[in-house]
Amino acid sequence: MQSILRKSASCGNLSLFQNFRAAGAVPRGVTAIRFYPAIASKSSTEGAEPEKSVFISQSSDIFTNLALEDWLYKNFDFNKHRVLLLWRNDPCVVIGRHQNPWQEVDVGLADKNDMKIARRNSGGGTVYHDRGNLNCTFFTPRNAYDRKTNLDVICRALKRQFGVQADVTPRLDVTLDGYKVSGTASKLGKNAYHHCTVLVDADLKKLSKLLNPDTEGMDSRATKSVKAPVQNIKNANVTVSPEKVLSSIGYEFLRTTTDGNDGGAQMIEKQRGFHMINPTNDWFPGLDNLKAEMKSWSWNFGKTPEFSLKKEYLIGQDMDTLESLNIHFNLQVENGFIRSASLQSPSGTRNFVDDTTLSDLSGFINALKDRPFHPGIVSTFEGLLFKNSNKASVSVHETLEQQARNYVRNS
Amino acid sequence: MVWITRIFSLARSSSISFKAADGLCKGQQIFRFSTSTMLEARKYTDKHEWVDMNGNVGTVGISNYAQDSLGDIVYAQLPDVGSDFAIMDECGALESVKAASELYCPLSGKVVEKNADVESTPALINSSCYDKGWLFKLELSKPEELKDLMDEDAYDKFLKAQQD
Repeated sequence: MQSILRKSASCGNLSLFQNFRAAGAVPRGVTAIRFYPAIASKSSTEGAEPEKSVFISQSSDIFTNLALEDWLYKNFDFNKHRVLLLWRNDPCVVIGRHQNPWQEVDVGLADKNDMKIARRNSGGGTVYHDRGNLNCTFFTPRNAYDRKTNLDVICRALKRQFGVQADVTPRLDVTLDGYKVSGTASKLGKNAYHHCTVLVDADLKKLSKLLNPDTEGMDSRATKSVKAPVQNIKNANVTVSPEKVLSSIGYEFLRTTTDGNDGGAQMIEKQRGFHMINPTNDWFPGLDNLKAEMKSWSWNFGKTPEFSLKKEYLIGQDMDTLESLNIHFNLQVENGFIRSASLQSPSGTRNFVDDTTLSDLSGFINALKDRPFHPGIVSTFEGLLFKNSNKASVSVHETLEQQARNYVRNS
Repeated sequence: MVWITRIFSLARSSSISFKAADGLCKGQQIFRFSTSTMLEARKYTDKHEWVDMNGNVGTVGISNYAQDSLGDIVYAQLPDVGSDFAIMDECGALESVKAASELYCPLSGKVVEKNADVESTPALINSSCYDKGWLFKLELSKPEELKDLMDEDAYDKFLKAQQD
């Protein structure tokens, strides 16, 4: 991975135009270009207006598309050439770079439905993708990064083509009648990109089911998603489809000047136009490695910021003090692996939990260390604790009720 | 169809230039110098990072200009202690307002300490970027790189030039 980064970085300064002319016979001198553009990039954008292209990815695989996005970010020079990448995915969930997938996504439900969970390189919160959702990535040099201008392009396209009035909020969401239709995130380094979702006709039921996991007892410093009510643009105009929105945003981008003004239809003629992109390793050398990284457990789950999980289970009540007795089950997770697991049981536990169960539980706890975290661990623990569930819970319940009656009578 | 061919040929040609560039890097030599333990004046990079040297160990942070333009920082991903970086390698990230900004290692060296306070309270970078909001400490492997960094005056001029 490291070697790819270095290799890519070393050609970051080549302009696309140079590359194109150099195709077939690469002049040796090209490699001597400085590593970092520093201030030079500013002057190189002066003068002629950069040309623009719309790239349309032919893949609907989230990992391939994230790898393509990363490849372009690392290898292109956007000073004289601005690129808008448009892409759609098969159903999947995409989390922000510094998020905890178990806190954001019902991972068990996603697994059951064979739904991919992917971590992206940009900041921000979790989003759901399917073919009814369009993704737009605006690539620029870092000094030309401007999210508001990009979102205005989207709003103008929706207005011009479909008569739909959408607005940009201060949080840089795009809303329609107060409902969010687009979420934004970005990455800044030597280049920059701003990408956003556009909900055209997505399955919103699936979205809300997947993005509402049980997070009780989970604590971490990971970036939390800000929940917002969403809707599809199709609600505002039934003739809208993801394909039509794709082409309208593409055209709007081509007719917009770099400072965000409408350059009119004749401006489209000056641009490089639409390009169908087939993201394979043949055309984008190194893409397979980026894709493997994007797919890996160590990136998607292993990059999770450190977190703890604290669960407590009521097992009974102290006969004398009438205080409830709880068993505590604590996990500390680093890089996706359980670094420590502990079980705390109050004195008096043995009145309610038999010895076999206790020894099963402690055996289970001891076996957890250094294993990858999975939400199934919690249900396994619960299964062991309540294995004689019906009998045990009835007796605990009866005892508690009896004690409550005694308590009322005595007071 | 013409467009398609163009893009593909671009992608292909850049792979060729990778290899040659890689060879160039390998040719570089490594020098080692011993340094005094004197505290030196703060230095800056054009990526808006600062370095305070104490002996051969530099404390790294981001400048006031950088923290101000990033906005409220909500997450700091710092490099692990013990990891080695070459100058300007990506070594971490700061997240603010849905944007992840890469951190670049200002000099070559090994990370010997990171600021755990900043990991638990990233807002320290905004409130105290030159003091409590330091990010990590670096034991330099190529101290001669220091001379290419800017001093405070040069950095101020650089900022002015950028804003003009």
